[in-house]
Amino acid sequence: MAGYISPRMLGLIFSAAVLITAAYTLYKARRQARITGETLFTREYTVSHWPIGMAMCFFAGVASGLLGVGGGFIKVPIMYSIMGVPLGIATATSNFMSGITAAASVFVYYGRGDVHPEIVIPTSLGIFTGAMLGVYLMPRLRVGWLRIALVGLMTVIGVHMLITNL
Amino acid sequence: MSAGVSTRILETTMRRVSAVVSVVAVALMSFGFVSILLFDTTGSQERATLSPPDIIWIGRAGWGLWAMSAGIVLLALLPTVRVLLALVLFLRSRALVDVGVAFVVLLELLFSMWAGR
Repeated sequence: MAGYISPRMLGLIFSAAVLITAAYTLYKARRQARITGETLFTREYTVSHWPIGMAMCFFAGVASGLLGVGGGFIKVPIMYSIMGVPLGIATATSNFMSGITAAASVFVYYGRGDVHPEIVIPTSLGIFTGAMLGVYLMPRLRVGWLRIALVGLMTVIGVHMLITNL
Repeated sequence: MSAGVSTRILETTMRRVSAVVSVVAVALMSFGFVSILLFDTTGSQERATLSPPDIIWIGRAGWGLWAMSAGIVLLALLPTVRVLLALVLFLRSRALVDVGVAFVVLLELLFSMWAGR
């Protein structure tokens, strides 16, 4: 599909999708917070609307493939606000999915000689340290703060893509 | 073995394996990176990692490059090891649907290794 749509149009579609998802996440979370107290890692939840979630994740995958961006910040809001998965569990599930899909392609790139240690090692050491810190901090933070961080990140990315492609 | 017990065992085992493999991989990568920075005078920006067969011959291509490549391969193998572990534990607890899912994911990962050899 990347050959048929202009990069500018792709950027605009992607920024609109990210901004709409951010707004919906905020709306749904505020409504839910009024009904029930929310926790990050509760095991008492039921996954709902999975056909809609699956369809939206398909489009997230297409956008990810077309634009070369990670799908994590699309998958987490879909699982959280549409499928009813708690935020902490949605984050952990998204991380696991990203790990498996990345692992499926890493050996192909490695075998082709596309992995350059001077680039991989500094970035992976940074990510490793940051991820350890994130996992340590996550249970110590309030759900509301994490939700604001997630929506804020999505808004920044969406606005940035909108400005650069207008 | 009940589902709750098998999930707990799986989570504990995966946490330990992930921690050990990650620490070893990061240590190898850091050692290799520092030794290349300190002792390698070629200054090549196009240096690629060693191919998996070359990693088996420890130290043949220089310790720095070997340690960096081994660390990267070890980290890349971690998800496959975790899926294999899950498959074994699901088999032991006879959770057949989970066994099927883990088997499909493992096949996908093994196929990607074969494709990238």
